[in-house]
Amino acid sequence: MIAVFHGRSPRPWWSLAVGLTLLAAWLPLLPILEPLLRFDRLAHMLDARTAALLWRSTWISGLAALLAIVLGWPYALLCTRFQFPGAGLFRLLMPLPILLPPLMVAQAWFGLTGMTGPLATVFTFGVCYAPLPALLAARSLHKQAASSFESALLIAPRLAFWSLLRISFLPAMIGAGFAFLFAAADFAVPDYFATVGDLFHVYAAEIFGHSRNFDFTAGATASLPLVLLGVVILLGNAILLKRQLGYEKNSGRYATAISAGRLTLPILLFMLTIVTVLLLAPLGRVIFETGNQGPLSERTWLEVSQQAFREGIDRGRGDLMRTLGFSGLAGLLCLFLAPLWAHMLLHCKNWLRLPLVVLVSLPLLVPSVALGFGSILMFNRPWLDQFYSSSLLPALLIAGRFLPIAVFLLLDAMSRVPDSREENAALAGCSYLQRLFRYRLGTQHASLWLAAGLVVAFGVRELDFAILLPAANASAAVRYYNALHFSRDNFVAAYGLILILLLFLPVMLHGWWQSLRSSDQ
Amino acid sequence: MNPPQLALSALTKSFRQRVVLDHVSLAVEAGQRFSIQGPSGTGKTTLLRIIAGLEAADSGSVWLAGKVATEGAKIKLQPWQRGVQMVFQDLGLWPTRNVLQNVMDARQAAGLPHVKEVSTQVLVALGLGDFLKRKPGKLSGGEARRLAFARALAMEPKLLLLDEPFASLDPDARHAGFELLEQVLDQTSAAVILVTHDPEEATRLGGSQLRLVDGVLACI
Amino acid sequence: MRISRATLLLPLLTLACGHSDGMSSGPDLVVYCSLDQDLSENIIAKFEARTGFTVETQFDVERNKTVGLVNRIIAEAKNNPRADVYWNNEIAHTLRLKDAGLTVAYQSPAADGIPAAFRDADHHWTGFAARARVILYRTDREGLVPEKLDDFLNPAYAVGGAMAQPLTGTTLTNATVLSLQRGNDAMLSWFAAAEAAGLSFGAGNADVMRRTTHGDFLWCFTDTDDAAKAIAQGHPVAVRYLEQGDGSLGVLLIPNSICILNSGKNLDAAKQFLDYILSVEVETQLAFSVAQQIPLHVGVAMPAGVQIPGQDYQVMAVDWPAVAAAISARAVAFQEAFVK
Repeated sequence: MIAVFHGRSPRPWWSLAVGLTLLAAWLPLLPILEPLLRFDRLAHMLDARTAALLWRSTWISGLAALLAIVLGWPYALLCTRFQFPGAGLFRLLMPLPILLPPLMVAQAWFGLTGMTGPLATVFTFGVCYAPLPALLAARSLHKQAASSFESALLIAPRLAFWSLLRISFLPAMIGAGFAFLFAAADFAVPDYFATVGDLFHVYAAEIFGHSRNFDFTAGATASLPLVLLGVVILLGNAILLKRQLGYEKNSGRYATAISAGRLTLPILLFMLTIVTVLLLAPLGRVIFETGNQGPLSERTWLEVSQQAFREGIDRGRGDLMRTLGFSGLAGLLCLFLAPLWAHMLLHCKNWLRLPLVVLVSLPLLVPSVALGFGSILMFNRPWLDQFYSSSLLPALLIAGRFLPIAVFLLLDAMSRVPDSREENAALAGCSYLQRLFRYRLGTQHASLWLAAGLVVAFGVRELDFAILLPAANASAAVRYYNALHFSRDNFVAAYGLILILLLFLPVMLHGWWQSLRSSDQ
Repeated sequence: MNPPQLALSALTKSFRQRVVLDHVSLAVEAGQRFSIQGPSGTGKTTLLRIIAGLEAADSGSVWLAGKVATEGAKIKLQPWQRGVQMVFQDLGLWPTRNVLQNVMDARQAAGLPHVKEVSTQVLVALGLGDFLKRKPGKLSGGEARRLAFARALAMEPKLLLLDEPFASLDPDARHAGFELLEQVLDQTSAAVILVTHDPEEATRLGGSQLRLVDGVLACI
Repeated sequence: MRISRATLLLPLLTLACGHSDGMSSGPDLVVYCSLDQDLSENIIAKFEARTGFTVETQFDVERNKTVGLVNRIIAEAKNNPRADVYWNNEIAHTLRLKDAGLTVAYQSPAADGIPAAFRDADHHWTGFAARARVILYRTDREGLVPEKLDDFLNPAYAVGGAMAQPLTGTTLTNATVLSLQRGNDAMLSWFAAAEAAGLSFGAGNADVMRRTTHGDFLWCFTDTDDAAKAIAQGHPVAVRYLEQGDGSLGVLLIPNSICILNSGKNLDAAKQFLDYILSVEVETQLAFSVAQQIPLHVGVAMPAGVQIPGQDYQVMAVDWPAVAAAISARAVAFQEAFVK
């Protein structure tokens, strides 16, 4: 058996990937598939009330995706392709806002500005998901063929600038597509702004409402319109990606950064503004919240803040470690699964690609509460008791749910690598895993870690699994939301900051290591 | 007497202590043709990039039509101010724009007149009349090469730099490439510098043949 | 990458397959708990220390309003019931579990001092440590603060006030109780009239409390635990009890409730746990916590300034089984009325 995996054929490994995904993502889908696909209820779901909810979700998410592009795309453009003081630091900071829980960002901006309502929701999602278009655009800008840029530069700077915009537009759109998906499925942020300001609802509230029902599979049924919308967005993204890859055949050098010259100061100010909006302002407010008290309180800010951090560490340390444990394991699983899936999609027959993309994406599109109930119905059996109670189950579910993001990123990264590298390795007799990890992905480690990092970050935020699965229950998300609900604002802020710091650190270290490596080469 | 179209004076460039250009000097008059041969990695492409203003030198200077364009590490004239066009080894086409747009965008951005007419004319002359709406990614290797030449020609450059435009082509394609080059040269009065490691290409270009070895430029 | 590197994952996976909290032979008791984790985990830890039992506790989160643990109990019961005890921070959903046949009868001696109105006649559940539905109002501002529920319909009161939407938690329970008294359609009309009068609706009790402390509202209709937190945080607020006086309805008390579930695994430990949780000691501890939950045993000590139900204010009589039977259907009706 082991010999099969030592062999040169990819099929055993692809089968393993499919098998693990089956376990992680598709088996829990089975119990909710029938309620999910009750198309006959679609007409009822789109009555005037729910159609209005769906429309509100669509325009809020659409505007949020647009804002994510407006903030993320120029940020990526400037710090990837222009030389100015601090450009490296801005590149390092680029992925960090995605690690901030959107609810925390919403609270921070409400605290800072008092903003409420649907537009505040748009702003929060736009700010939180700006790194998605930024990261994807940055990568295509980084990989732009030097000759393509320079041949424009020989003619006019305006043309060269246009070439930057054109090469990064589709990736930014793909990132915005993902931002749309996440924004449309989020319930906590619109719910928060509806609470602190005038009441409004989004479609996710309808799904949660039905999940409270005695027939909890009704939540899955209610999610059908959002699932269909998600499928459309993902297919759109797949088409954009295919088109973009056609633009990025590059056998020569990569373009280098341009000196900002007289524009240094305006660019610097612009970048500082964006970083303040995306990161510094919300973080600053959260730090303030750690010690904020009512006017009659006799304790100082510092005393309250210190106590909040002490409580955060004392009470929440174990939960934090468990969360990082199962989310980290999910990330590791994706490090292994996502390359196999991406490679399989790259090489499979054309007619098979679309169904495989839909299959791998479905767990991301259904509400996680439905997936959680699906896994209870599937895995809570006396003979599976050990597995059901273990951290492996949440890790598998998180990996299965967020696998499509990792696969998408790696499909994009792998497609940029010439087939010849892998083919040469095959001719030299390398095993399949060597060909895949050393030669196809050898120069794409940043994408691999980014993919795994995103899975970890999304796993840490995941609340619904945490309530429903035994090993995930004692988690940071449960403690955070519990404290939030019971108005322990200081604890919530301090605990959130500890969590963010733990997520920031590896990302910053990896970015720093990458920049050191690239300056060495 | 008019100044030379291009004058290089004691141009020096090193990469990590490896000297690739060592006090290179050259004068190129309007319409004159030069070929520079030499093994891979000797700095031929770097020389073209310094002339185009895409890279700075360590010391020495580049003069274009009597104006100092590069002085040591300082780029005095930006690439777009030099009247220089370059056909890159990997062609440098703009993948998101179709064939006609690749040429029209260039002429339009440079502020040249009769954008569409001249662009179409050049493309038709180089045999791309049937592919005007096609994206570069959908062209064959030879067609893409024609487009790169067409775009450079449409810019009516004073100096045309060709960086191994036929490298990695099979003999038939290379033969077609020579014919294309001759066709191009018939249509331009620009000075031309061709970088190649193929003596036959250098011979077909005509003009002076130079060799760059160990950073030193010498006549063959 | 060598295959040996890929197989590094295997030990990690094996490690992860271990039990969630390192209990190699499984816990002595599995408790599902919807009460605030900060309040309940210390109490459960004390039970573990006294009995030597290992307790696996699973907590709920109200924020996402999934009624996660109740539905989880129902879902798990289909193939392999896991939970031995359910400690609910309200009562109606516990009765749903009884109606679904998932609970086991147990008459805890510790429940003897609790009024019969808060105990199941068949001993399937027991109520304790309650919250009262009250008005929290700002003491530093002039304005009318309601004394009766129907004051909510008067714009003179309503424009400065707020309450949570009746979609979840104690507000849903409260609205269900009132809809049983007034009729479903009348209740929906009541909400519409309150909104028309200028009453604001928020997503949850804690949220309307927070907005009141921030000065957005003069008053809000919330629970005593939220009110206690606002006062403890130093905000200029006070509590008012609604519907007092002759012939008035009285204040709705919503107790915690606890029941043994039919997992069939740790019945003895579960009984001991119920005896402990229903004790005067635990009620006292909850009364002196930040949430100041109201003890249902008669004569339990209370923090200074906290009023005693029945003695300091009138309490509403509630038919809890009828509430439990109605709550799911009412939730759907309220969802359609409010989520739009």
